[in-house]
Amino acid sequence: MEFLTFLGPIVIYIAGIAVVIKMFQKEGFLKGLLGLICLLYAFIWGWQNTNETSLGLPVKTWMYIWTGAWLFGIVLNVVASSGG
Amino acid sequence: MFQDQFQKIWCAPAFSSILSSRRELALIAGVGVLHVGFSLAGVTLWTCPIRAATGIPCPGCGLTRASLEVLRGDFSASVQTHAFAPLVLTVLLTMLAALLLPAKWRDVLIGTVRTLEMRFGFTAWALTLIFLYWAIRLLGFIPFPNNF
Repeated sequence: MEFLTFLGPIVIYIAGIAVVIKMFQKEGFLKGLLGLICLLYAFIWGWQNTNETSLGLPVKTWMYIWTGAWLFGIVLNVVASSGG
Repeated sequence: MFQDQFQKIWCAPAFSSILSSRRELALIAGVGVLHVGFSLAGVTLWTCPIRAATGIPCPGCGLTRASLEVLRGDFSASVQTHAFAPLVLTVLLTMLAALLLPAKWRDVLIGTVRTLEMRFGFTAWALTLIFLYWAIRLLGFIPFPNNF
């Protein structure tokens, strides 16, 4: 369980950075910075630009990984808090 | 040559291009309202991946809490949590205005923001200042609050 709670943020971090890299490439420096400051914006941008490719994978794949890990983290938090 | 390139990057209309897209605005505003609503109810749906993975707060860490403190009227706590909360709230209000205003006024608003960006590099300055503030805090010159 502890391993999963450690792994989740790492996976989200990597997927998030992959999307932000694509933002820098496609939208320019300022929007890239904006995505770095507000990863929630990068998350929305990623789902709007799923046909792009970043770090050798489609952005869609990164977004599935990001969203999956995020939802999984929420479930883990709920389980952990309900378990005491 | 270099100056032209720099000017092009520094004065790019980044925020006004977001304001121009109603779909993007609606998405951001919807997610923003959900995020703030859940945060007000004490439920954290979104935590910063950078901080969770590395333990280092990102430049935007604390902005949600600081914005909620502004909304509650606790300005001193807000400044301690993140000094840029009033700017972020202004940005959110501008986005909501661009989403809800009639087309004529919306165009005026977007045109004004675009002018501010292209003439004065408004967005670039704001983002640079947020990064400088973050660096100063990381170096310990402005400490993070105890409950951060």
